[in-house]
Amino acid sequence: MTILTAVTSTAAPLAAQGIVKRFGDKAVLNGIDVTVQRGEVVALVGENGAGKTTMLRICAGLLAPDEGVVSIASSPGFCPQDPCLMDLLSTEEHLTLFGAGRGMSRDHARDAGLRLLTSLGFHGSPADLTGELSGGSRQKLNLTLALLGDPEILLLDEPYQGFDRNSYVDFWDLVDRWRDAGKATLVVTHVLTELHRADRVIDLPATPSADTRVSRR
Amino acid sequence: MTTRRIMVICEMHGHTLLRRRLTMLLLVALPLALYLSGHGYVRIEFGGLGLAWAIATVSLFTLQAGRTIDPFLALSGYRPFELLLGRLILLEGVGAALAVLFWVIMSLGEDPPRPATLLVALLVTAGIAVPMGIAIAALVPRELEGVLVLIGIVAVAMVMENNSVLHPLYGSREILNTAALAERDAGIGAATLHALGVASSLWAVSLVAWMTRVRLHLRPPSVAPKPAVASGSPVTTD
Repeated sequence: MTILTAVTSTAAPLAAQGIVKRFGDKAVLNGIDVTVQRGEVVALVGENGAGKTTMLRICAGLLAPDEGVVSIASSPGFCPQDPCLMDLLSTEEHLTLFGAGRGMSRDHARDAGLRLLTSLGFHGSPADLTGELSGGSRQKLNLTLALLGDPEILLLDEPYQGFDRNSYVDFWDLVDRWRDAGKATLVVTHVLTELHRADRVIDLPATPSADTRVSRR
Repeated sequence: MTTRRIMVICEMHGHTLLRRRLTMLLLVALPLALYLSGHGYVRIEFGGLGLAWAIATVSLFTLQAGRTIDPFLALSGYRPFELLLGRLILLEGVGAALAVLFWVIMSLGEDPPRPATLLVALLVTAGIAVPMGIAIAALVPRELEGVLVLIGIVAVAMVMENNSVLHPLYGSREILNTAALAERDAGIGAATLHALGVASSLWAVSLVAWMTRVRLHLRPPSVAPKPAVASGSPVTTD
């Protein structure tokens, strides 16, 4: 065991420092630091209620910390734990909707999105309404929407929930490709068997304190 | 790009609304039921208030439905005002279409003394109803509370004998009654100004509330960030 006081010396695409978050009287995060470099995959783990999702939402800018600072180089691709879809829109219409936000044309968003869905083993018609999709297919679309536009920073909150075994394996292969492509990836997970696929693991303490255990692969 | 993003929001919510066939049916049925339940000139006022109620309710639910997805759309590049404006264009269009439909129904059914004024009245009513529903959705945290607030506003307008400038639908009621009653002064300038003022205020409130709600808390990285792990924090390596 080695005590380190510094991990980075160059500008990281994602750097969250001294993050404190309270909900009412309850402190969920207490002085947490998370930095993700280019080409690095960091896994965020911890017990239920440790604040993993809260930390990820703060990193994405969806939630403001009570204390601390988040610096982020570009708009991240964010995959929420629960698919955030409009049930009465089709898969294709979701690609158009999120693609327009990323500045993609209708055709470009559709083609890129369908390629990503295929790589995740999505079986369905682009015209199917998302309310009629299976849980796994919804989650694959959810992840695809985060990846649309090829963002440099990926924030993923248990993105493989509902995936079958093959898709789950495909997901971690994709993670390896993102690393090779130089993306900064922060993934919340509680599947400890795959932690070796991450470059670093940040274990959020169950009870709020300044202690954050970090292990290197 | 802004225009394209606004039109995509408008298009997608249009798909969603059109696929809710029962909602589309009720959008017509509610004002029609209120219109038919009235007697004499009150019929037109009830029909108009029913129209406001139906359009405001759909507007409220359209915005409430975006509460979960809008932050993610903002992360993907949408600005809060684009999310709001896309819905406004769609809902004002739906409102205007319904206003014309009810103008035809009321013109055929009532033979109003001032049909042109009636068309203005219904368009103004629909025009106010959209920002009213959106403002309630932006300010009230949940759908149930929003619906109760809306029922309160419309119900007060329906039971209130004397119109009050303090009520958001004051301008609409004034113009509706002017269209329905030949003995009233034909001028609708003050009432129209009131309606425009209310609509503008509701829009301003909605915009501020929505921009606050879907605002992202991001800042670019500094050139040399501080250490990733706070001094003194234990860090373990394998």
